[in-house]
Order: sequence, then C-alpha cells, then structure tokens
Amino acid sequence: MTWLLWRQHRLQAAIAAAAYAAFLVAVLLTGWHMADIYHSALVTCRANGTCDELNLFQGYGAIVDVVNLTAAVPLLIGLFWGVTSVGREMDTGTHVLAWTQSVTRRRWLAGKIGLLMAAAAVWGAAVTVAVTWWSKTPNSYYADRFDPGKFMIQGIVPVGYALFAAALGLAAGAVIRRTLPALAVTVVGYVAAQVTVSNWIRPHLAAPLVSDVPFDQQNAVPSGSWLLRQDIVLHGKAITSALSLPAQCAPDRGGNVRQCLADLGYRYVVHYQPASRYWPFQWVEFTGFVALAAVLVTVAWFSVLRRDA
Amino acid sequence: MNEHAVETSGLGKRFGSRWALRDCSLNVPEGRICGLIGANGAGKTTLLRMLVGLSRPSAGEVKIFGQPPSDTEPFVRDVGYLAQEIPLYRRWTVADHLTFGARLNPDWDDDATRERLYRLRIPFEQRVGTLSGGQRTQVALALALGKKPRLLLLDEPVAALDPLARREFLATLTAAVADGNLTVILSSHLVTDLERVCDHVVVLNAAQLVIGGGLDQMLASHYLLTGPSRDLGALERDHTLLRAERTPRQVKAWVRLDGPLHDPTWEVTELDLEEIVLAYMGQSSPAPAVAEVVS
Amino acid sequence: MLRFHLSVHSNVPAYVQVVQQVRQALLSGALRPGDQLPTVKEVVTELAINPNTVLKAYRELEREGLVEGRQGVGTFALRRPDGPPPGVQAALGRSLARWVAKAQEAGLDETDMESLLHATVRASVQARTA
Repeated sequence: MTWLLWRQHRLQAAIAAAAYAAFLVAVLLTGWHMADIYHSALVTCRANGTCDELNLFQGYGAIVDVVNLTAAVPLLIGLFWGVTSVGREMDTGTHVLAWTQSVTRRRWLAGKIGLLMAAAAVWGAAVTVAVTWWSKTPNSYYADRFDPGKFMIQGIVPVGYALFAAALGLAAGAVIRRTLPALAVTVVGYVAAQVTVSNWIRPHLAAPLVSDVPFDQQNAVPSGSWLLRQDIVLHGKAITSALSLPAQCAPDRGGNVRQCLADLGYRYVVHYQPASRYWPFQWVEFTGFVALAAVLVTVAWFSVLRRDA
Repeated sequence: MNEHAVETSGLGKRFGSRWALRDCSLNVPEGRICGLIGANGAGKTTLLRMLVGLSRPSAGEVKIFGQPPSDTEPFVRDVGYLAQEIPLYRRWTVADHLTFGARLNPDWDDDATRERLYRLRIPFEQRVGTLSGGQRTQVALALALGKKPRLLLLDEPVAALDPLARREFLATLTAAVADGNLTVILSSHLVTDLERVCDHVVVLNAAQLVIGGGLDQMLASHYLLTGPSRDLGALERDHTLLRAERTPRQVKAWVRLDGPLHDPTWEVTELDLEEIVLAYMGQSSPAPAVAEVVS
Repeated sequence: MLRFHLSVHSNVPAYVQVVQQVRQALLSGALRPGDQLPTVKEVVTELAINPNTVLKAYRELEREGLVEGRQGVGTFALRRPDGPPPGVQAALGRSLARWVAKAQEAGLDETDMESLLHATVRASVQARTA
C-alpha cells in the first residue's frame, strides 16, 4: 500500500517540492532585505523624529502579491490533492483495480486519507511558516496582521484551512465520484466557508470592544487591532451619507473645526478587536476548521465504505 | 470439495423502482468455467458486481466458498475481478502494473505472470494507455490471475477484441484453469466462444435467471422436435416447451425433455448452445426457471 | 508433436473429436506406442477449450486401453487401435482426397461435403444392419 501511494503521488510531491523551493528562496531573500531596510530606516527616523512619514517598500509589489496569493494554497491543495485522491480514482474506475488486488477497501481508504491529511498539514505549515517569518517586517510597519487578508495567511489558521480544503475535496470526490463536479463543489464550498467566517463569524468570536470619543479626540485603539467599523455618530445615530459641514463650523469662521463639531455632539465611534486577541482568535479559528475537516473525513469514509462501489 | 464456489439464493438488486436482477438462485461448483449469457441489460454485470462485493444485494443471499462477500483480507485475496472497462492506470507501464501486483498481493506469482505476458509479446516498458485493446485485456487478466485467486469473475472481457486476441485470451484463461484451483465465471453475449470454453452455463434474460447448470447436461436435455402438424398438449404436459413454429404441414418444437420422449413420430435434432439460448430468449414469458439441471 | 484441431460447428462433441484425432494418429503411425501425448495444458493453450474436455477425452482413451496416464508424468500411448494397416489407411485417405477435389469442382463447400458424407455413412450403416 505504501508503494502504491508513493507511485501514485510521487509526481505531485515533486512538483510541490519544486514550487516550494522556489517560493522559499524568494521569501528568504526579500524577507532579509526588507528587515534590513526597515531596521536602518527606524534608526534614521528615530534620530530625526520623522517616523510618522516613513514610506518604505515601494518596489516590493511583486513579492507582496505572491505572499498574498498564498491565500489560495489551501484551495489548491483541496483541488489538486483532495479531489484527485479518491474522487478521480472512482471516476476512472481504478479503485476497483486496487480493491481486487488483495487490498481491503478499509486499508486503501485509510492509507489515502492518512497521506492526504499529512501532506496538507505539512505543506500548509511549510508555506505559513515562510509567510509568517517574512511578514514580521510588514507587520511591524503596517500593523495590519489582524486584517482579514493578512490574518488568513499567517499564524496557525492556514494549516487549518489546508486540512479543511483537503477534507472538502476528499468528501466531494467520495460522494460525487465525478472529477469535474467535485472540483466545482470544492471551490464553491471553500470560498463560501472563507467568506462566511471572515465576514460573519470571526468578527463576533468575542464581543468587539468599542471606543466612543468626541470628534476632536483620537480613539484609543491599540496598534495592530482589527477595525470592524468606524462611524461618525451624532446623538447616538451614525451618519451614513456624506457629512455636510454645518455652517457654524466652517473653516473660514476661524477656530478649530474638530473642536466645533465635538461641541455640537459629533463623536467618533470605533468597533474593534484588540491586538491582544490575535492569537486566541487564530487558535479558535484553527480548531473550528480542523473540526470541520474531521466531519468531512467521516463523511468521505462512510460514503466510500457503505455505498456500492 | 463440499462447498460450491458460488451459491446464490433469491438474489436481487433494485435501483429505485427498477429491478436489475430478480430472484436469482444458482450454484457453480468449484473448478468449473461458467459462462454467464444474456443480452445487454439482462443483469450480468449486476450479478457479477454482487458476487465480488462491489454492490450490496437488495434481496436474497450470496455465498462465495460458503461465506458472504466481505471487506476482509481472505475474501479479497480469493476473488479476482475484471470489470468491463478494464481499469488500469493509463500512464503506468506494464512493468509498473507488475510491481503493483507484487506489492499488493501476498500470493503473487511473479515468474508465471511475466512469462505469460512475455509469451504474448507484450512490451513491458510501454505505457498501458498506448497498448491495443487486446493487449490491455491481457495485462488486466495477468494481474487478475497473478494473485492466484480461487474465483475469477470476468465481465464481457472479450467483447471488444478481434478474433485472434479473443483466442489468445481464452487460451490464457483455460491454461490457468488447467493448472488447478481456479473457478471462472465469465459473462458474454457471444455464445460461440463460451460453448468451447465453458462446462457450466447460466442464462439471464430480462433480469431473471432462465436456466443454469452443467453444459453437457444442458446439451443432452434440449432438442428440436420436428414432425407433422399436431396439438402440442401432450408435449407441454410431459416436458417443457420453449418455443414452437408452425407451418401448415409441419410443427417445430424446441423443448427441454424432462423425461424420456415416448412419441416416435418426432424427428429429434440436437441443439447447440446458441440455439438453446435463443429458444429461451425468444419466449414471450419465461418458462419456470431451473436452478440446477442435474449435474 | 501431435497437434489437435477442433471443428466447432460439427455435431460431434469436442471430446469425441479429440478421441478421434488421437485414434487417427495412432492408426496412421503419427503417434507410436510409448510416445507422450500433449499435456492437458498444452492442448488447452493451443485450442482454447475447457480442460475438462481434454481430461474426458484422455479418460475415454484410457478406458479403451489405447493410452495410459502416469501420475505426475503425463499420458502415454499404449497400443495401436484395431483397424486397417497404415498403407490401407493412407490409400483410403488419397481416394477420399480425390472425391473432395471433385466435390469442390462441383461447387460444394465444406459444410455440404460434411453433410453428404455424414448422410452417406448413416445410410450405408442402416443398409448394412437392415
């Protein structure tokens, strides 16, 4: 069985290894360089007091894009490894060949699932380790690691996503048993899960904190927090249309515009998740996706073993 | 050898409201080559898949060497199967498939398998997807035989082969049976091949078993009776009438004799297997099925 | 090496054809007492027929005392069956070949010839016993 798994998947393994090697080289080189630039810039700006006006990393668009694109890695794992693992074999009928060669269905399926999950975890972890290391510098500079686009490619959640996507592809293939529909279901399912979690679940994993201050003050939101909403509020109601400046606060009247609006009752209200919650949120989301993966693996297991071949 | 290789009783399979096979009871003794005959859609593939355990019965039972099919090592070792589509890994070479067989089967006979393919002049280093239909079938058969099963089930293995490839396939198969310890069930809608190779026959028609039993006994009990036109009541009472054809002067009756024929005015002609099968299939309603012609 | 052939459309059962061909070989001298007959596996590989058919034929020949099966070794010819000496056999074969040529010229095919031969043999046997 080990031989069979290796022989069937050795090409995939080689391609993945080659792609990762190239990716790792790019990440290492740019990461070191960016850290260097940032460090020297900090030394200079602290001496000059110009740290608020730093404008770094202008030419690094390409690597930034590549790193952002690693958000697609779990989905690719689900499509290229998850669906082909069982679904494509059942589509082409070669599972019957293995099953009539003295290998029980159970052993065959356990081997396939084991390899798939291990590969998804390893590959997901390898990519996220590289991305998280590389992101140390941008995280310090932009303080945006809690933002959805960055949250999903760093830390521990990408490993959870990889396991989930692999299990989703596996289950889709095991239930549908046709490659193309299974691929479609995996794409739709994965994107739907990500969108749902990002927009409706993660923001409410813990009750967001609120910072409610008069218009002329700064909200006390710690650096690196995730801003969920920012509203201008007047008498308890948020202003949704364009703010028209009341006549008495016009700049040509002299005096501080902000102070004037504050006196009229305008306030800034910010809903946010504080930066301190970053790791707890990572772990909760990771656990949730791993649990989903376990459910999907069970579905695949029973679909293959209990139904007619 | 007390147990039959295959024993089914009341076996049936339903897909939704449609029965693909119904009330099938048959016995195939060990060591036989059994031909499973029927038109497309008669239920042959449905029956074979239930025997292998790929499909679960909706009714009735199946026993293979005394045990129902199960997802266990002993069963999957004992039973080999060749599906109609001949599933092979298209991008693998023939040699890859042989390694596959050796690694997955504890009882793999590597020398015999290599020799078999070598004698058929099948190139080992060629990708299976580029082989001809006949060569692919031989590779699949070699894989199925190499693991030394006790029962081998073949679903229309020669349907897409030219006559030479068919001959080579059947020769390989019968030689393997000659080695001993192998029972074969092969399905086909071409009866002539089966007659020379099989010693046991099962005929399916419209999802039902029509007749099953030893070939010799079947040939010895089915005849074409020709004679002057007359009433067939007596014939129908004493024997089983399968089909009758009348002309103004003459009547022809295809019968299964369930006892000695007393009427000497009949001219008796022997029937070959194809004619017997056609007589059964041509009936508008099936005669009561005979699960075992005395063997 | 003795080679068999099988005529599928003949009314004669397969095992009987094998028996007949062995007898012919013994009569004509192609197979001599002491020679080994092809193994069941060899015959089956050549003809693609059921092994039991060959076994049945060899058992029948053994019953007639023409061959002997030796466990683990093979089947061996024992004696020549009763029949005309090889020369007569060959002469009859030649005259039959002349008849076949004439029949072919007249337009008969293999099946027609076989039916005619069969009917003639049957009629002659009936006439003899009448």
